[in-house]
Amino acid sequence: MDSLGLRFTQAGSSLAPPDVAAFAAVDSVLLHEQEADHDDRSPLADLVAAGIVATRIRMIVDDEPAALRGPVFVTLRSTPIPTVRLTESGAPEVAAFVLADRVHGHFAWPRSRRGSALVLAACLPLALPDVAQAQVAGSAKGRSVAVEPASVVPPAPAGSAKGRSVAVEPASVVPPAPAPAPQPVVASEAPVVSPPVVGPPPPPRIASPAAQLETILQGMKGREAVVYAAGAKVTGLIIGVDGDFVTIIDVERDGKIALIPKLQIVEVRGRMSAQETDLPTGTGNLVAGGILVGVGGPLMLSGLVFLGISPSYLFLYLPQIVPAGVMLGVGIPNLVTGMRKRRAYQAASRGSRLSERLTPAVNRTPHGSWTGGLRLQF
Amino acid sequence: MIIVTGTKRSGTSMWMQILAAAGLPVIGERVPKHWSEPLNAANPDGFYESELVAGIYFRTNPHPVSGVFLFPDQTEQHAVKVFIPGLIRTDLAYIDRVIATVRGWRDFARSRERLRGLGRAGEAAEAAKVTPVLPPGLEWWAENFALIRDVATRRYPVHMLSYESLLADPERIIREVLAWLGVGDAVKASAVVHREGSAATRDGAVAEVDETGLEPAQLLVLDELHDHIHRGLALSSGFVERLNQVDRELRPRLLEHNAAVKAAALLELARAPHGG
Repeated sequence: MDSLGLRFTQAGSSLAPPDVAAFAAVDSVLLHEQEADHDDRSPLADLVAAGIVATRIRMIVDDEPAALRGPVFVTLRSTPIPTVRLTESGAPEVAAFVLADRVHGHFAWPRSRRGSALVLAACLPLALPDVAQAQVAGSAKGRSVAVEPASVVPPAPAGSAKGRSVAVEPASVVPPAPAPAPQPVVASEAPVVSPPVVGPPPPPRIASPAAQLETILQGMKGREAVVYAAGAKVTGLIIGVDGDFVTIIDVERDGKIALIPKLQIVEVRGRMSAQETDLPTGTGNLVAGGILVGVGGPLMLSGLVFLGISPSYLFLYLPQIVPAGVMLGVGIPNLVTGMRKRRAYQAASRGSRLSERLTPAVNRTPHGSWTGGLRLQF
Repeated sequence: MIIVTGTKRSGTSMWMQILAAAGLPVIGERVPKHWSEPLNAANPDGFYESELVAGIYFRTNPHPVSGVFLFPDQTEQHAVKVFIPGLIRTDLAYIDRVIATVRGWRDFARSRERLRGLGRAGEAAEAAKVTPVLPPGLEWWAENFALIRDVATRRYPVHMLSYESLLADPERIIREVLAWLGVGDAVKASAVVHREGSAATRDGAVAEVDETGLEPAQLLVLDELHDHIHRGLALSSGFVERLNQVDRELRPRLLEHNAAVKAAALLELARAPHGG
């Protein structure tokens, strides 16, 4: 009897010819369901999936939520023909797909922007706690205060398919003049798309408190902040400010993703960490000491053992024992110094007292009840 | 897969007939069994449509009923018709070559109207009562703009040509395309087009064209786009910007249509005794 192995060392496909007859158009209902493809955000999605709507209309397309303007139906996406560059780094622009950057995206959907709840926490961090923590940790090193310009990330080209690519016309910058006549170009096998003109962004004009808040939030994107809104406070890394919400990793709630309506925000403060970068970390001492002790220790030990076995060969073993002693003599003090510096660095960055590292933690269980306890930060 | 794409009534069926005559394995039936006789008359040589016309992606592959799965490397030489929205949905792993055919929007409009008149076994007539119809010019624009955007975004190998150029010089066009594909008998394939010529002439017999929703300046851009494709010209950056500008201008109209479609669907649902 055949069994199914669950470890594949490489990709494999069936050796049999493809069963293309299975895809012949015999089921018109299936065809209509596919034709009526939809976005998950469509209020008709459930009905289409249930086959209710699809049997009654030939095409269903969804309108775009006014506040979000996200892509819905594939032929009605609002993105323009993208710029095609000749020199691309080849590195995928994965940053455009950061999940938390999409307020309207896949992990949380706000029920009402006027709802009493301040924070709409999603369950994503429960499934990916490491990601959330890594972002928090990574952000602590970035200290510059430069404000990132608000920009819309264009769709990231994924490179040529299977090593083949379409011919690309040299990218040229064209001034945004009204409708220049198309230039005839030598015919190629495929229509070539040239980059659309994107003018420089206009200088920011702060005209209202809302605009000021937007400017601040754009500047704080990717940095740690304390956000005050409707009597509550959320502390953490701001990862998205698009649309009507601010997306933040709440460090006080185990990295849950919080959505805060911008309308309810009353204050945003930058979160200042300790001056740990002013202190030496001790890494150099620890590494140097570790290497010297790691090499000198075995040398010294083996030299002493051989000397004990045959004491008459003292001068034979001295060239081994003496350098080993020097290594240990230098390495051990380096280790001690390095550990002392590291402790000081850690104390400055997190607080050395137990009371500062021990914080109360209250969490809601999946069953709806609450749990309480203390959390020790190392 | 070798994907034949385009709007409806743009010559996709003819290209499927060409590839089938050239000896390529084809996915799809020449004439789907459930289609009505009048509809079959619109393409007597066959449509070659399959359940993959809406794309090769999670909803269609594995097959939603039977579970049959097509592997990318199994089907590199298989020809399949996929309409433009389906191509955009299709996983890149299945896009080995794309033949995109574009018909002038006026001829497209006339042919589309003729097809609507034929109906598809009565179901389209019922749907037409409740579903707002997008003006043909806007439908042509929405799909062909999305196609060019997808080509520029994902950059798969594509050979985009006009329906009219195929009719004008089928031997040369077919020979070029088959040489690009690296397979197929061009002589046998060219014989298909001569039979198809009469159908194209029939479509052009209707004079009236619905220009609803399009300004004269926008119509000019539609014509210029088709002319670029017809003559095999590259799209300059200035022209691409004009395309983007026209799309920005037409988007509210398209969204308005979407809202109307949704409203009609919900209304029909409310009227239905069992909701479906």
